[in-house]
Amino acid sequence: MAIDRRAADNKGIMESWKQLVNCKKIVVKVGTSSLSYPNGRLNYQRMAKLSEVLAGIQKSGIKTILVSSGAIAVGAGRLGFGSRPTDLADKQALAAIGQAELIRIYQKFFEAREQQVAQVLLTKDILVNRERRINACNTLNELVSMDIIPIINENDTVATDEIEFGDNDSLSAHVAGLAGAELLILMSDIDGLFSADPRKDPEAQIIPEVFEITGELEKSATGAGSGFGTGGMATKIAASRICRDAAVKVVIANGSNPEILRDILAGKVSGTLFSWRKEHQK
Amino acid sequence: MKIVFKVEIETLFGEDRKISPGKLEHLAMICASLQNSGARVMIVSSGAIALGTARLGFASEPSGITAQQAAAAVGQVELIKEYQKFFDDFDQTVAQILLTKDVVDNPVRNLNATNTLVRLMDRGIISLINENDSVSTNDIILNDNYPLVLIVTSLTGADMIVVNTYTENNYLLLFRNSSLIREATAEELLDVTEEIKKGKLLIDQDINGFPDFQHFREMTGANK
Repeated sequence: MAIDRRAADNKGIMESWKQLVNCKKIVVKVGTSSLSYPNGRLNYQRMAKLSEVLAGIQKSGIKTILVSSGAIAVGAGRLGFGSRPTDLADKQALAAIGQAELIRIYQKFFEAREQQVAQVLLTKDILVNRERRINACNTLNELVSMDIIPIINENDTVATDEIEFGDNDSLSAHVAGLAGAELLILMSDIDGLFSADPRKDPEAQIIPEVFEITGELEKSATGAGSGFGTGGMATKIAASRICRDAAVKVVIANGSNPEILRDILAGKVSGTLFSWRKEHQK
Repeated sequence: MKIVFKVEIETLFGEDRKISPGKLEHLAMICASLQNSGARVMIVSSGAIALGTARLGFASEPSGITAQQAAAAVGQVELIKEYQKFFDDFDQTVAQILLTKDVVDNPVRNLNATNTLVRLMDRGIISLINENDSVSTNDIILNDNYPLVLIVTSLTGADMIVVNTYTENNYLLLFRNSSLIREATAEELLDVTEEIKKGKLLIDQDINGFPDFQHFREMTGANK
């Protein structure tokens, strides 16, 4: 199996990770499960830590863009919903309430680190509508050049497909391409991409480096997800494919401790790296 | 009774070009009070670019579109935060809605935006609406929220639009789409909604197609 060959390629794997120290512009995507407790309420400590780490990375000279989910969960908490609503209009209403709250909390935490942030809400038509794409691209580049961290989410009020199908993974991949980032970091609730579902298969091993998205890889990434998040490994693979086309590297790592971002950018093996290393591609 | 408030910079800012806590508190009080009466309020608010400009430490509002979009992305955060702070005092939940003009023509967008706004109203939440400046350019050029006010009115079938005037009496102009209903002070606003509800105040309900933006602008003296 391909995974065994990778195990023999330890030195190469470490070398691939080490190259991440050269990143100048990164996109970090955090999902609902990384920001909230299992009951759906916000984990403020986690958000504070994440803001601190991201502000530190930005200060070190690496331009940072954050793609954050969590608006619906925040809205549900605010209105006292017990679980994620199933009705679409409710989801959109909660997103509109929760986004306002979410961005306010981020601003508070970033402000404590003297880091300016901005809110950018995007819909998937940035892919097909040229004017929208140029505008979104210009706004992002302008914010980045002004040393501001853009905090991006989907504009759930007017879009439906994103709410229904799988989290912000693909949005973050498009943002990485749009902004010309070298690296997308997908913060997950598990340690990376496994050779099998780690909850079912005790033999499951983390895959430290991926060169190419194969059918075998896609098969191993069967959907996972908690009550409030909708993303699983399948959406992360799909996001990685978008990044591959844009020559953006991808890391899937465990978001439970945001300090892992520093490890990744220090070149330490910290999950799964989609390196697109050429000598291993067909 | 659905009411759209068009909030302009003068309604929010003091002479020092900063948020005036007194003015914003007054606005929040009026809107929260109307909500408590059973009316449903939506707010289309300017101010994001001005707040972003101040926050970024620029001497004046940037003239380039990209810089304006960046200022709007920074300032929108601040704007919503300010509203949320003052509405919290009156125990009123608010939501943020950023729209682009394609909600008019794109049927899916149209339906989604309408559903979201209506659901928020049903749940007693005030929507704070603005143009999604990060992805659209047209309205920054217009630098005016009138089209957006009319879009929101049309999407939700709102009964009344409230626009502030800045005459010495500080009258509110009340519109049924582009037809002026009457002038009123903030204190009279609730009476007017009662009159409309009871059918005492007859207004022209005959609206064919989209409200007339130019006419509306002229009547509110926005053609400076």
